[in-house]
Amino acid sequence: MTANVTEARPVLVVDKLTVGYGKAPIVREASLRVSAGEVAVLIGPNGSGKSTLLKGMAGALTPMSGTVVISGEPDQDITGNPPERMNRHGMAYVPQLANVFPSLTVVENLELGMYGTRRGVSERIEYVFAVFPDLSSAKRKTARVLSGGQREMLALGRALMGKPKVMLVDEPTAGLSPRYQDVVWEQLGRLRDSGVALFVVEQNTRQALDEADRAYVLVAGQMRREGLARDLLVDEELVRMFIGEGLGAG
Amino acid sequence: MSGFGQALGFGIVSAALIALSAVAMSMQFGVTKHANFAHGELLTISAFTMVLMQKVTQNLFLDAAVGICVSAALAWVINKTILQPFRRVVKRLIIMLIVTASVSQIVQSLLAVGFGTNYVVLSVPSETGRHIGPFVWTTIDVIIIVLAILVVALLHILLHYTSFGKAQRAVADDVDLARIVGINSGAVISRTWLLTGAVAGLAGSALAVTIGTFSNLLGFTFLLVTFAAVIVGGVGKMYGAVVGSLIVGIVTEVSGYYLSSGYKQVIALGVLIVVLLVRPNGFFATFVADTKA
Ligand SMILES: Nc1ncnc2c1ncn2[C@@H]1O[C@H](COP(=O)(O)OP(=O)(O)O)[C@@H](O)[C@H]1O
Ligand SMILES: [Mg+2]
Repeated sequence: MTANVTEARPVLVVDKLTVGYGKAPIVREASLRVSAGEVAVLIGPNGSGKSTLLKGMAGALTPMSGTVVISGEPDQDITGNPPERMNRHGMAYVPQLANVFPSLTVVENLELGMYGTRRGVSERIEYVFAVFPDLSSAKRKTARVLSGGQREMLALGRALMGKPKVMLVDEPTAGLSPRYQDVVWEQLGRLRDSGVALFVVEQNTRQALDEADRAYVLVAGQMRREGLARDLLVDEELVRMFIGEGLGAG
Repeated sequence: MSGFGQALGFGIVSAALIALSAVAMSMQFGVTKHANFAHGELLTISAFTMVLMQKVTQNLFLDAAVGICVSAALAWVINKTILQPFRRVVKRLIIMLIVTASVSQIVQSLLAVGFGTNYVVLSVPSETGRHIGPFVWTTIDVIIIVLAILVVALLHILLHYTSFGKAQRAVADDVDLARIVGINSGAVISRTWLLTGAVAGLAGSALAVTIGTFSNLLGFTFLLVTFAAVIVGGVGKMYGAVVGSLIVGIVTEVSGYYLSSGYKQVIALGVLIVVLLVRPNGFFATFVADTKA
């Protein structure tokens, strides 16, 4: 199940990124890389800066220093691009809250995932419906009436519309029932298998380490640990540091 | 009964005029999330452009077309040069309201400098109304009603079946998310001003042709009934604005039949106050609902 992460060439390379609101940096010099067909998770205590880091990568916040590069032929330095320009470089961002357009229908939400493109939209919607069958049965509903789980799938589906190389996903399972959390992770796994590079912030540390290939640990705005998820799962220091109870309870 | 039917007919024409102004205001509000107190001046500038154009051509349609273009351009310029720079530095709603109120005063003053504060006259071929069912309408009345229906239908098609319309609805729902999915929200807002400026310009032309004699306060006076219609119908919803226009237009004209027509503005205000009493948070409730949705 776990991809061979050591061999793969990274699609997304973030180097020493410093991000904050106004003048105060929240995340300092964070570096990470994610490869195609790999799920990397970002874990860390509440308020450690996980969402802030994602916003800095996605252009929702302008980084103070450091670089965000999408590798390809040639590499593209997308540091500080405005958010509306990130899609065309192959980066899709799914925020934690307010990640669908409530007054638009499911189909309209998906269409917006390919905003600016005319061809192939309906084919791509069919593809997204194949990945998220739950959405297909709700296609004419407005997003406002969807359940939390369906909304998350709609947000992921919309991100998938633009054929991203990299998806940044902020806490996709927050607030969902355990059953639905499993469904979401199953679908993230399917996206990974389709070749997308996934960078996922996750609250449920145990599940994150179980499902991911690679993991990063952010504490107080600094990357404290990185490595294969299965190694971190048995890392005693990490367990003691802050996920002890989580592991025990799980 | 025929007197009532006639008043109802006037009410429908009045509602059509208000609706043209109100759907423009409603769409602009829905996308930008702040009221525009210079909305009335978009109507006025179109009416005054018609007066100027009459020195060149007597074709009212051509005059109106130019008036509409001037209003659209003014709306676009106001957004580009004043509102957009302000939006970048301050996010406070009250600032935007003060800015648009200032623009309103400036345009009024410039018109006063150019034309004086007295009434100007748009010459319109005189015409007696014909009986159409229970109503008595002139050709111009009928054209205005048809135009209002046409504009609402076209805006509906725009909002639901075009890529730009869907982008407008996305920006109205959540401007930050709209940017994340790749929509250039600044461009959408800019084009929305152009479009709503044009529709407001059409409202101004229609109003000018209907009343013929007006001052630099034409649109400013009309702002109250427009606000009333938009608020009565529920801010930000186009069909709400249409329903609100029907209520305000018909109530003011029909009551004008029983009372003196001098009370029209008072009646419009009365409708507004009654609605606000029933929904105490009125305007601001919808403000919040619209921004957080
Ligand atoms: N919009 C904001 N403005 C200022 N500070 C913020 C904002 N959002 C979050 N923060 C601060 O940044 C820090 C990190 O927050 P966040 O990135 O949301 O953490 P996490 O996602 O890891 O829970 C917190 O101290 C929080 O108070
Ligand atoms: Mg967070």
